[in-house]
Amino acid sequence: MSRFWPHGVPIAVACNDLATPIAFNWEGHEHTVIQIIDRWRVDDGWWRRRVWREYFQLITRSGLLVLIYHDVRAAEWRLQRLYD
Amino acid sequence: MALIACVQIPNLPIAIARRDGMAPLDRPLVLYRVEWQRAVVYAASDDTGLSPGMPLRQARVRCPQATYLLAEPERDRQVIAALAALLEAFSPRVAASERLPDPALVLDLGRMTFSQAIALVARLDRRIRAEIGLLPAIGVASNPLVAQHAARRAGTGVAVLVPLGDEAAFLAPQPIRSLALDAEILGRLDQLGLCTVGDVARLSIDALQAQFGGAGSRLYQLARGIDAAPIPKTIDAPTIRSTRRFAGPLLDRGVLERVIGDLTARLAAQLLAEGWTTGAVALTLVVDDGAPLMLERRLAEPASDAATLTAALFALSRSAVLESGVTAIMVAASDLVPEVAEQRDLFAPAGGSSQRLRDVVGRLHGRFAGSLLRARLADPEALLPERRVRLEPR
Amino acid sequence: MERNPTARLEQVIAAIQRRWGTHALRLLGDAATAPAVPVVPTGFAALDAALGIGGVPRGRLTEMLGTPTSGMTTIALTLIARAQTQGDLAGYVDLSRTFDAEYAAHIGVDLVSLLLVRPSSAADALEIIQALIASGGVGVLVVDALALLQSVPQDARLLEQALRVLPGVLAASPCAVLALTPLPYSPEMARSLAFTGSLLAHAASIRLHIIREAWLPAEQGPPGCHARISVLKHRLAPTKGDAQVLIRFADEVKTWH
Repeated sequence: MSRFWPHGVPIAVACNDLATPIAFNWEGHEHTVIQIIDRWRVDDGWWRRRVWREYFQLITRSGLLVLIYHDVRAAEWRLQRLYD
Repeated sequence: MALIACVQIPNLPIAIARRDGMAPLDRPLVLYRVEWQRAVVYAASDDTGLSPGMPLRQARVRCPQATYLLAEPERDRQVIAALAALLEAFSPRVAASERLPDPALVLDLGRMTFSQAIALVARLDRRIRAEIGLLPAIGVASNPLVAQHAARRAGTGVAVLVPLGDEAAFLAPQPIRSLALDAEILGRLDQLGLCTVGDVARLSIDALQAQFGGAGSRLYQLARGIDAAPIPKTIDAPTIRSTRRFAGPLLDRGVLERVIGDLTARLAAQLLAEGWTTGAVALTLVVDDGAPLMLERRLAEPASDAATLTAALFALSRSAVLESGVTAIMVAASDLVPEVAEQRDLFAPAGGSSQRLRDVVGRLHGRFAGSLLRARLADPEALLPERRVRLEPR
Repeated sequence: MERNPTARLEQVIAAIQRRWGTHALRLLGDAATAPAVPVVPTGFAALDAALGIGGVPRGRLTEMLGTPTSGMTTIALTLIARAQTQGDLAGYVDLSRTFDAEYAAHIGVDLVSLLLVRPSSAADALEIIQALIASGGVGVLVVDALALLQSVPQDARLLEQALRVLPGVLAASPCAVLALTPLPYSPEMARSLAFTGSLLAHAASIRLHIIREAWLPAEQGPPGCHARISVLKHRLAPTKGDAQVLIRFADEVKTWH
């Protein structure tokens, strides 16, 4: 069902040479990305605690439509939204 | 919050006579009785301008066009008894004052929210109209005194509900003689220029005690709508039981708890089907060689759901020390009070779903406060999705 | 008596109905005498039509099963939004603690009046659910995801006890309960689980299975899909085939810096 994780769920993501996700691992399953619907960057609060994230809204072969992001400063990937 | 309802049939003897077709509806009606060889007015319809106790001769001069009939107090008492019996289906605590021609019946509704009381009053009204054939005036408040005043203010076919905390304000404009005080105190209040309940409520308890002695404390409470007199239990509320017997003695706690769970589920279903909640549960374990173990527990508040009852009965079972096997288990629910479901028609309060939400949250808040939340779009334009929404406790 | 068995059956039914009323016995499909079931429209006309009664029934438990991104939550939230516009109070029991409030608001749910419940235990969850239903004040209650309780033995026992009394509590209530059951990603596993018996499967009056069939082309706007909803079980009326629905998911707020 539609889920939202305010602080995101850590995931392991494989990217191509353009730093675009091609697969990620979540809850023990690998999900191959078949389409990037949209991507955007949030770079906010540089004068205090900088938040720098690259967001990807994508579809997987397993049939998921999800929102994941790359936290550039923390160098980690998180799943934030599962659409249902 | 515990609520009290007062049910009156305004001008009961006249209402009964009209119901039974004893006089034409389009003419004023006077019922009289003979006491000490003197005929006096027993009851009179409002359009006569006559009052009980007036000599009949004087009444006939004042209102010659009325229909004059001999009163039947015994018939009136039978109707009061029937009304009391009907009210006992709503509460085991019903008190009736047969002060004809304006008797009042008071019933303890137990703990319920205001919207539940509204729904119950609607049901009560419908049943009285259907089964007694008369139109009641109903007052609901936190104590019998204010409930009776509310019923008196209500009038035929109307219900007045006084919210908790508004008792004093509700009584304030009433004339002081509406309180049940003896003639001497009323006379002295009149001499002091205190005409309304509010006038008396403005005085301190010291001032009232200085004037009226011991009666001053009672006067202080009455003027503020404080009346803590409980309504005694008039009937024994039923107990609902469910029993299981075993072929042989059982010691396995797991099996015993499963059986208790099954029996409790049946108990809860019966409570639900018959419209009761229970204030106490009891567990009886009949052991193989010894006297039965009987354990009882009062619930924090009346309940009818299987989960609450099961938890209480499990706690009792775990506290029992079993030295031999159990051959039978009985679970029982006692101290039953009527369950009232919310109704959204007729007396639906202004505010609709927001009022219903408050009522629903109010019922659960005591035990589940941390689980009830409200989501709010705090900053819909925020760049980070987690900053757009906030979850807050209700 | 007629020799024709159908005509004979109809004669017998007519006789019974004359004596005991039309509700005593009726032919399936006899819509003229079928008692109306109070419902909450889902907001998806095809689904309401497939249900045969015009929506999700009040006073009953309906279960919906679906894999992630099948559109199950969108349908549940649309149901809530529709019910709220009609004056119903709605609740959402969030057992997985991942309720997407922003998405719900996008669908049209009034967050201010939505009663969001996050119980701290299975026992609390079941007690709150029963209390909300019994209160008579809640018109729609979505429970996400009751089936999860089946995976813990102690919680499964509580669920079993609760489901025994729930029909009785529901019958006296105006509440339409929709239980969402997530299915695993694998289509084979999902199909087998959808048809397997479970506590909820037995207790539900209606069971629906939603399957995403095709994504909407990207050029047609925000992401979405075509989904098919099959009625696996229906105690209240004959089913009218599957429903084809269009699910549109929300767009994200985004800005390039």
